[in-house]
Amino acid sequence: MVGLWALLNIQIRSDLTAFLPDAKTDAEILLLDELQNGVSSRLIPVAVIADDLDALVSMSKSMATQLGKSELFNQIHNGQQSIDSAQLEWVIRHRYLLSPNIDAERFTQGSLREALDERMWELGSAAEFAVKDLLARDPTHESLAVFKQWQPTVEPETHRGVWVQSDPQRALLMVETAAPGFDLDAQALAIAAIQNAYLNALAENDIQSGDSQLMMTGPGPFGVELRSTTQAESQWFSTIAVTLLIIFLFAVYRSVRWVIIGALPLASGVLLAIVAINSGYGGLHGITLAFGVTLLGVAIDYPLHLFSHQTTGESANDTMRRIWPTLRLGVASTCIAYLTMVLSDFEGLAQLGWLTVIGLLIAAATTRWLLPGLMTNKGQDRNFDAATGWARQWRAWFSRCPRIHWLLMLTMVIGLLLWLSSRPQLWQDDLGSLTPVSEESQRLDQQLRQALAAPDLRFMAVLKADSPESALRASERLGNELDEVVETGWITGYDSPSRYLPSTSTQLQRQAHLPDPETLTMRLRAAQSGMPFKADLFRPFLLEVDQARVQQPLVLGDILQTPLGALVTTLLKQSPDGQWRAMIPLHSVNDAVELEAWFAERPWVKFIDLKASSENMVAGFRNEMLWRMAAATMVILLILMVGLRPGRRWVFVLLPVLATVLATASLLNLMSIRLSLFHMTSLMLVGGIVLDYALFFDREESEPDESIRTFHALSVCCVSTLTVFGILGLSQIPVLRAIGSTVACGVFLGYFLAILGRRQN
Amino acid sequence: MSINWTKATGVTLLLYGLLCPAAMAWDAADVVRGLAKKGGDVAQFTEIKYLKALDRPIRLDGEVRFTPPDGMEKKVTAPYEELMTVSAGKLKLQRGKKVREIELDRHPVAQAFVMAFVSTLAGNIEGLEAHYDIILEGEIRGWTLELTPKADELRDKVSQIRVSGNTDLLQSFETLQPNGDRSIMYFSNLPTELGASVEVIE
Repeated sequence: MVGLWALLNIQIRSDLTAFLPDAKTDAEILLLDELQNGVSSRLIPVAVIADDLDALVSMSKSMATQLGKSELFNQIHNGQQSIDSAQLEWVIRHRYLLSPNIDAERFTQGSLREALDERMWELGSAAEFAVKDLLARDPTHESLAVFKQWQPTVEPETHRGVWVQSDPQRALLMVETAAPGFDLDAQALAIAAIQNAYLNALAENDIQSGDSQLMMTGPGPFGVELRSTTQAESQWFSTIAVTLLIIFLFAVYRSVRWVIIGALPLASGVLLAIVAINSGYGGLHGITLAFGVTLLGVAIDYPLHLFSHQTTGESANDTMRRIWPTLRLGVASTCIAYLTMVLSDFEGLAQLGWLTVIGLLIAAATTRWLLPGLMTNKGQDRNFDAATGWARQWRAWFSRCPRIHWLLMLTMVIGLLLWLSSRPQLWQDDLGSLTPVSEESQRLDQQLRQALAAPDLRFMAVLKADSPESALRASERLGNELDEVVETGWITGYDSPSRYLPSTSTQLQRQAHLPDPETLTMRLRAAQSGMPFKADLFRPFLLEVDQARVQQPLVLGDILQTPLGALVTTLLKQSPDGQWRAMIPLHSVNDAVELEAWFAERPWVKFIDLKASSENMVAGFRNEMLWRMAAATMVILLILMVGLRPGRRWVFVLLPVLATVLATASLLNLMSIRLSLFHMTSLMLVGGIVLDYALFFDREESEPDESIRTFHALSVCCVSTLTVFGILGLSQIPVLRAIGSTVACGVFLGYFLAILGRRQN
Repeated sequence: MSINWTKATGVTLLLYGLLCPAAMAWDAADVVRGLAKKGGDVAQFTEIKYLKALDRPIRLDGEVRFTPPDGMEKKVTAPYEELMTVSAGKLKLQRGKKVREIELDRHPVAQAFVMAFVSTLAGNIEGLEAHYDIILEGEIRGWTLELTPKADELRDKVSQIRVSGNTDLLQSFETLQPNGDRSIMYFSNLPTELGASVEVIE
């Protein structure tokens, strides 16, 4: 199958965004952008473990140097100062435009004297070496003020200049890849490069690989790891499941030919549907594929109905004609149910709808028109009649079993009540659960991020403007007001694009505060009097202040040429509509409620909780799915009322289906499993399968043996489904486990509920 | 009877060599090991800094202390009060309420100074030899160790550190920079002649 996909050149997309609605609000636009292109998706926290503290330091340095040379990475941080002399000179040259300290008071005689006193002290102390180079050019330390405002408020623990944690003892690096987090091929290359750098660093430090360990987290490594383990594990589990299924089917039908052709409807349905979707949409989403193949699982049953219902001497075509009305009704109602998804606003859901509808129709058509011909059409040559085997005892045992419709009703009611009573804990809307990463990895990721003092990008303020300049001005205004919020302790700090690129108006204001050469010379001379500085020492300072007075203010284009460019572009972006957005990440929010109220008084800025918005989006998706399921139920009801005339037969068909779905959902709920989209999809499959069961139990039977054959068919169907999905339910991968256990559980329940709920003949 | 002068000289030298083995084998390692202090010993110092940017030298007075295994404390008492402490690779400067902390690894020059100073006081010759080329000059009663940094990038900032002393007493610690700036610390809970030399400078 995998080979076939490659041949057909199917584009599988792995980003989740198609499963989110078209972004309408600012929060949603931001969230989608953040998910797709955000820096947070490109950050890889790296930890290196070793016993020797000094070896960790030199390994960290070696890795940073190696990775710094690679095109795959934008930035490498390990605590070392990474600024080179050209970058330093750039900042020094623009210090009077960038320094937040420039105001009318900055160059008075008093302020100058204060600065010179400060410099004297430093010259006398051990800081002498750090300040001497700049003394003549920058006695007021404007360039340091620039760097200081760029420094993060919290710095990770360091040892000998690089980030090394003491407990647990490990070196930490923060790596930013050039490719976005969802580009798994590029991420895999980046990960390989990091591993390679690590191995080189091990060799350089003569450390045995057994005494050290490399750990990486973040969206990229998670995605890559998940892709390989999911691929490996799902292949492994599907192989076991299919093998067991083949053995089981062979044991039942004793025909290799039947087992082989029995796979045709599902295989052709899946393949052709994928091809159709791929050519229709120009690509296929990974989740559509996973959900779609799951939902198409109902087609495993179609050939089994045909096989089990064939009587001795009957041609396969005749058997098909007998069961076709029932099968057709099942296929039609399931298709129409899934068709409701086609109309969805969510592209992913619409794709899923098309995939399942097309797949089911093809599977049904293959079963109806292709399979009977392939069954050699010589039923009389075979000695198989389901009515003569074990199904006879099974049927006899069950015929003693009462038909207890009230029990089903009760199940439904209890299920519904349980379900509604636990509403808050009902749903799993955390977007993280859609890209399932083991809890252990998630914990490690959190620990590393905390140790690295990496700000979580959950809370943000967003400003909209029609030009970069007005966006920067607005973020300066907000910055001034936010300083008070930092004082109150609701947040520990914030970041802002204007911190790296002040608005032109601010830069011009600063320029205006620079005194003319005569004034400055006079003030400096007065400030210097009595101090041991040489008389003409500060000539470079006087010259550069004078030059700065006519300097061209920095604009966005200038800063993009510098290492700060990458940072500024993440904080100041142009949306497709031409508007500019400034983003102000808020660090360590302690009081989101107060903060929200504070922002509510400032309508010119939007306060956004990305986690809440992502949960809202998932909840929106889930609600849409629920409504469509409800609509589908109504449509199925109508079809059944028409298809199963006369009388109230539709009640007996629909009752087991609804009871099964509700009972399975409450069962999951009782096991305190929150329902994610994977569970919902599985429940839809359960509904489809049990509907088929109920329809077949409801058939008008001309002879008693026929009902035994139906028992045979449905029992084989049930065991097949249990085998396949039960195996998947044993997987360690949360998605596979959720789908497998839900379907297995639901089908098992549904089988018995369908028997209990069948109509009195 | 004739005396074989050559032979006699040889014998005398041999005898001298046997009698004074210490004098013959005296080297930088002996000097540094002889300086080894236990922690806690406080030495008074006077530091004079000659900087190109200034037209007269800076004078600082205070006390200095080695804090094993690899730290030191330098307290300036005049003309202002300042405390510098070095421990676990971090240098902390305190003056009044102002505190500044720097990571020594990020400031190789400060690190070179601290390293040389602490290694000398700890009698750690291996530590010194790892980072400096060492030349010993003078004699036991008046020696000077010339430490030249091995690393090129460090030599751009510190051309030489000169440590002088008498037998196992440290007398001065001088840092020379390529641009001509230099600073010299005199330690003076010690010999009287040292106190005299400081007087001369002032």
